[in-house]
Amino acid sequence: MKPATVDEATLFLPIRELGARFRNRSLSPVALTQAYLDRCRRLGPELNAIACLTPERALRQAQQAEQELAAGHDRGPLHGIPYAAKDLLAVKGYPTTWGAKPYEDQHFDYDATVIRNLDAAGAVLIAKAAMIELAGGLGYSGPHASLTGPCHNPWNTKYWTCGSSSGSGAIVSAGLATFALGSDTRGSIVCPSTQCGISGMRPSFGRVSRHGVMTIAWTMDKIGPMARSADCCSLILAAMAGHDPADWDSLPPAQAAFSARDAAPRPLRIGRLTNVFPNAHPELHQAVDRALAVCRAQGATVSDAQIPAGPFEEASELVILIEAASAFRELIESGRCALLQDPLGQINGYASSEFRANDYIQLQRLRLELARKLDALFDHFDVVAAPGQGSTASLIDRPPRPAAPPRTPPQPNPQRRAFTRDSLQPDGISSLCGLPAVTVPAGLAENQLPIGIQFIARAGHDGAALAAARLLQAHSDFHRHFPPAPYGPS
Amino acid sequence: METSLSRRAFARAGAAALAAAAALPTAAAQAMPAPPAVTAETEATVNRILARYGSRLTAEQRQRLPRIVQGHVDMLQAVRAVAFDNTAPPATVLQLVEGRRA
Repeated sequence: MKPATVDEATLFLPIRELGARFRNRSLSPVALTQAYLDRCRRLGPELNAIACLTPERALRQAQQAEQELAAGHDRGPLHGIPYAAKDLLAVKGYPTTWGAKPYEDQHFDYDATVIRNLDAAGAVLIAKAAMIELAGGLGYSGPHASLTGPCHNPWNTKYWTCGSSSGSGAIVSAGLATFALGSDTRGSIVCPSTQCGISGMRPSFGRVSRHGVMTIAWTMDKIGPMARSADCCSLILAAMAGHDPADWDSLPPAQAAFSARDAAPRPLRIGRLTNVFPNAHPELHQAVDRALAVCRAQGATVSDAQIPAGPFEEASELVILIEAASAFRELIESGRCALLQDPLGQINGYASSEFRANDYIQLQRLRLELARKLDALFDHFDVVAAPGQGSTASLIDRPPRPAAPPRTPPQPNPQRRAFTRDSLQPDGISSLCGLPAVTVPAGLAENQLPIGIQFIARAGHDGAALAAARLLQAHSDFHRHFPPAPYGPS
Repeated sequence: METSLSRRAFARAGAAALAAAAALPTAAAQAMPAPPAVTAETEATVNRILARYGSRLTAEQRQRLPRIVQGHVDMLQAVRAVAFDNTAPPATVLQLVEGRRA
């Protein structure tokens, strides 16, 4: 039944293909798990991708899967499939560090609900994935803000994976596991998935339980899959999703459940967002247009769309800052935030603790207004599409910052330099309003780093976002490109 | 409600976006903007923070604080500028507890 070794290409196969090989007995869950563990030990440290391995648990689960499948007890598509979980998910028996020095010895005596759900589906947990400290909850300045060091992008190790699900992105991209779990408060699945050249999904708010997961912002945190394809994401989401009374914001059972067999809208109506990432390099937009041409050729309609106006970027940032100041209140009040790696994270909590309740209520009123406007957009489209990010991956080691300037007097400064960040990103408003998004590869830029396209759907319509991405992937091969060796197949 | 979010409007929030960057520092965001002028609100907020936590902060951190707070204030100004009717509700609801105590 078991081949002595698992060839490298097998480690990059999607879930359905691995499952078929398990079931025709040409591949063993134990052999596959061992191969991933070996690869994690060999390449994980080079990438700073792994927080810790869980080999005892993994091999026990793999052996159980192998025995069950042999006995005809089939738990479904994830049975025997190895994965990694971002190190903000509680796993009994292993540290859960939240990527941060103050929590490096933290242990929980229970498993997060999504871990239990994946256990029930027969998936095999092989590692906790490295991450940005506190998933950036108190702010951070770049890749070094992590207990495990900057995470290197498998496509070019001088570049970062993006964050905060940095290890999850690198693990999937480099074939260290078949899939990984990430968390997304405002872009933390979409960005690393895009910049690592993999498929990633932010589910609708409330669809996946956060019980046993570190909180940044109760009203914005989501857990989602990062994998080889949108089809893989749909299989994983189906196993993860569901009502959980232990998560106060969990959707009711009928709304929380998800089936990978949900029918896709036909014909798919795609809105191409024309007012986002205005300063992105043209090749990013061109890649999106090429990908949408593939969808159009398969019967989808594609027309221009615009995200509604409003201070949504500000609103999403402020909601995160305010809720994080509460979530991490003990860390801030105790002064242990000084142990964080990032100079910004060390003090930002003090500033964030000073917001007024009145401003928070104003934000929540604005949020509902924005959510209604955004919802109206989906009267005309099943999904809207945009570049996965406004840039390809950034260098890990960039020029040092200038020394902090002296404090300026309280007077207007008409010469304030324009801020260079792209103001019109779809991430802020879609995260603020709890919408699902799927990002999938759309080619490589001239610098040979991945470009992505993201599909955003109406709240609760996760299947539509997945359907658009699956349509693209069924008729293109962007998602079958892998990093150069040794991080891709030789 | 603002009709659009202009580059200039977001420039006002630039420092704060860096400060927040809660999930996503892009390549562009990694460039440190020029120091903002601090408003009276910022000045007052910084003074409150220093009164409460000042003994914990290094000289460099004290120097950095006004820029962070000014960023917060800039973002708040954009949000506060939106007017609502009296009845416009917030996106917060009271979920009734009916035996749900997990």
